[in-house]
Amino acid sequence: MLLAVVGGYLLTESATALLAWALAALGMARSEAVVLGMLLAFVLYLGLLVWAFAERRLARLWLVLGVGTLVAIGLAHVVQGAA
Amino acid sequence: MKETFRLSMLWLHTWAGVVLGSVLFAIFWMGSLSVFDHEIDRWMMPETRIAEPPVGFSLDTFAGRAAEIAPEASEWSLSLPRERVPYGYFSARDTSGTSTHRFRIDVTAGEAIPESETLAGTGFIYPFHYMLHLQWMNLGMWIVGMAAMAMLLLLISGVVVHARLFKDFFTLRPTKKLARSTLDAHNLSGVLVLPFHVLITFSGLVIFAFVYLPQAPDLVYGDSEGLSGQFRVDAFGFGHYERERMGVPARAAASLDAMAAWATSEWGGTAPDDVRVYHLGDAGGYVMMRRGDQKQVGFDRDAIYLDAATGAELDRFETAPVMRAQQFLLGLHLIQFDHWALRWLYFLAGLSGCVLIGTGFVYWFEKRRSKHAEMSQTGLRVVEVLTIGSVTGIMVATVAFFVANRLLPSGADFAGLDRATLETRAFWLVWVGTFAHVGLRRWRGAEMRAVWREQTWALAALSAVAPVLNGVTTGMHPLRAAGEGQWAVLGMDALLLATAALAVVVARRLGREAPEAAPAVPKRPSALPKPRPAARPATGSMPLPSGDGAPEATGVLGGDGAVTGDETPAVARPPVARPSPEDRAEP
Repeated sequence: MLLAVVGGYLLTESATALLAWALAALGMARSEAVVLGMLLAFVLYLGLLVWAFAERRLARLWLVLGVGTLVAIGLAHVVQGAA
Repeated sequence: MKETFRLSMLWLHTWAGVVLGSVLFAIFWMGSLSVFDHEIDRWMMPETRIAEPPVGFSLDTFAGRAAEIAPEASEWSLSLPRERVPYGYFSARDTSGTSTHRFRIDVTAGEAIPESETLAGTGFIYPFHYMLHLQWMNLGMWIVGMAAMAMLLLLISGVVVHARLFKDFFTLRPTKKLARSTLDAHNLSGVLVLPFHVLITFSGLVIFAFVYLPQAPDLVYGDSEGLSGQFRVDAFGFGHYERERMGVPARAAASLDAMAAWATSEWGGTAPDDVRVYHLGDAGGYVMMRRGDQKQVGFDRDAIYLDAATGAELDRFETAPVMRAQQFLLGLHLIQFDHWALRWLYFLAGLSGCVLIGTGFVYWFEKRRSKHAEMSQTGLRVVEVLTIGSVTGIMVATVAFFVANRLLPSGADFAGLDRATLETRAFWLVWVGTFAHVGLRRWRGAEMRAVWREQTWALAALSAVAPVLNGVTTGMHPLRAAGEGQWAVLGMDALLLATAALAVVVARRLGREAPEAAPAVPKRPSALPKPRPAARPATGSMPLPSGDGAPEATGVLGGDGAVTGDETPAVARPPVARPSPEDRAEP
C-alpha cells in the first residue's frame, strides 16, 4: 500500500518533470510544457494507483515502480547536468 | 492484491473510504460552504454590508482619492468591486519599496472599510477547504491532495464495484433495512453526481499541482526558483512588462477611464477589474489593466500595459493555450464567474458529496455490525467517534463559529487572543467537543442513534439562534436585509433557519424507535413544529436546505427519500420489484 502510494508518487513526479523537459526540448514554449506535464501527471498517478492496487505480483510492482523511479530520477539528473 | 480486479477495488474502496472519509467529509463540507464564501463574509462582517457601487464609477476620480490616501505612493493597485463583493482592494507602495498592506476600500466614497475582526468565509472556511489550517510545511495541502487522489480512486473503484450501476440509479428504498437504504442513498448520491465529483476533485488537484509536483518548472527552466522565476512571468504574465523610472516628472497624465474603455473594447466588451499604476508622476509611468474574469469560466486574465502619459499601448500579455486550459479547470473549480443557478448547483452537488461520504460510513457500520464485529471493539469505537464527529460534529462547529462571530464584542481579547482568533478557537473547541461527546456517551453505553440525535439537536439549536443574533446585534433582520438588497445576509439567515428546521426533523425521527418502525412515507417538514425564530418560514428558500442535514438523515435513519429526493427528481421511483436484494460482496 505504502509502496503504491509513495512509489507511484515518486515515479509520477520525476516522469512529469522529464515529460515537461522533453516537450520543451521539442520546441514547446517552456511554461506550456510545464503546465501540460502537470495536467497529465494526475492521470498518470491515478492510473499507477489503480494498477498497483489491482496487481497481485508484488515483485512486478517493485520492479515497475522502483526501477521506473530510479531510471526517471537518473535521467532527470543527466538532463539537469546537460542544461 | 485480491483474486479479481473487482475484489481488489472493493478492498480499496472500503479502506480508503474508512481511513480518509473524515478528511474528505471536512473538505466537501467546507468546500460547499466556500461556494458562498463572500456571502458568509457579508454576514460575518457587518461593516462590509455596503451598497454596490453605481455603474458610472470613475477610475480618474478614484485616482484623485488614492493620492490623498497614499500621498507617498509611487505605485498603487486596485482590484475593482464585483457582483458578490461590493468593495475593492487597495494597496500602495512608495519609492523605497515599502508597501501598505492590502485593505478593503469603498471605491465610491474612496474610504477604507474598517478592518474586520473576523476571518469569516474567505479567511477561514475557504482555506480550511484546501489546507485544513495546517500550515507547517504545507502539511494540510498535502493531506488534502492525498485525500483528493483517494477520492478519485474511490470514485473509480466505486464504479467498478458497482455491478448494477444503471439500475440502482433508479432505485431508492428508503424504508427498507438500514444497510439497504443507506447503500441506495450512497449509490444515488455517488452516481447521479459522479461527473461533478470527478471534475471537482481533478480540478482541485490541478490548482495545487505546483505544490504537489515542484520538480517540473525547475527542470525545464534549469533553475531552482520554482514558481518565482521566469516560469511565473511566462505562465501568468506577472511582470510581463516592466520599465524603470526615468527620473523626469511626467508632463501629462492620460485618463484612466479612457484607457479602461479602450481595453474593454479590445477585449470584446469585458472590462478590466484590476488596475495598477506604476511610477506615479514620473515620465516613465505606466498602467497595467487585467481583464475581468466574471463573464468567463476560465481564470486566465490577459493584461494590457499602457503609457500613463499618453494612454498608448506599450505591451500586452495573452495567456498561452495550455495555460488557458489549465486556468479553465481552475475556473471550473473556483466558480468566481457570475452565475447564480450554477452556484446553487455547485453547493448542492458539494453537499451531495457529503451525503455520499456520510452514507458510506454508515453502510460500513451496518455491515460490520451484521457480521458481529470481526474487528476489535476498540477499532470500531474509534471509527464511530471519527464518523459522528466528522459528520454532525463539523456542522455543529461551523454554526458555533457563526454564533461566536455574533456574540463576541468588537475588540474582544482573551488570554492574548484577538477576536478573530477567539472565533476560530470556538470552532476548534466545539469540534473537539463533539468528538469527546461521542466518545463519552458511547463509553457510558448510549446508543449510536442517541448520540447522532443529540448532536443534531445541538445543530438545530445553534442554527436557530444564529439568525436571531444577527438580527439583534446588527439590526439587519430579514425584512430590512430584503429592503436594502442585502441578499447575502438574507440568504444566510434563510439557510440557517432551514438547517435548523431540517435538523429538527431529523432529530425527531432519530428519536423514534427502530428504523423498521418508521412510517412508509417520510414526513414532510411542514408537519413539524417550526424552529423558534418565526422571522421567516425556512421552507420558503431554495431546495438546498435538505442537503444540509442529509448526511445524518440518510445516515442513521432508513427513510430519507425525501431528503435526497429533493435534489434529484429521478430518484422518486418507489422500490423496484426486487423483493430481497442481495447485498454486495462483503469487504
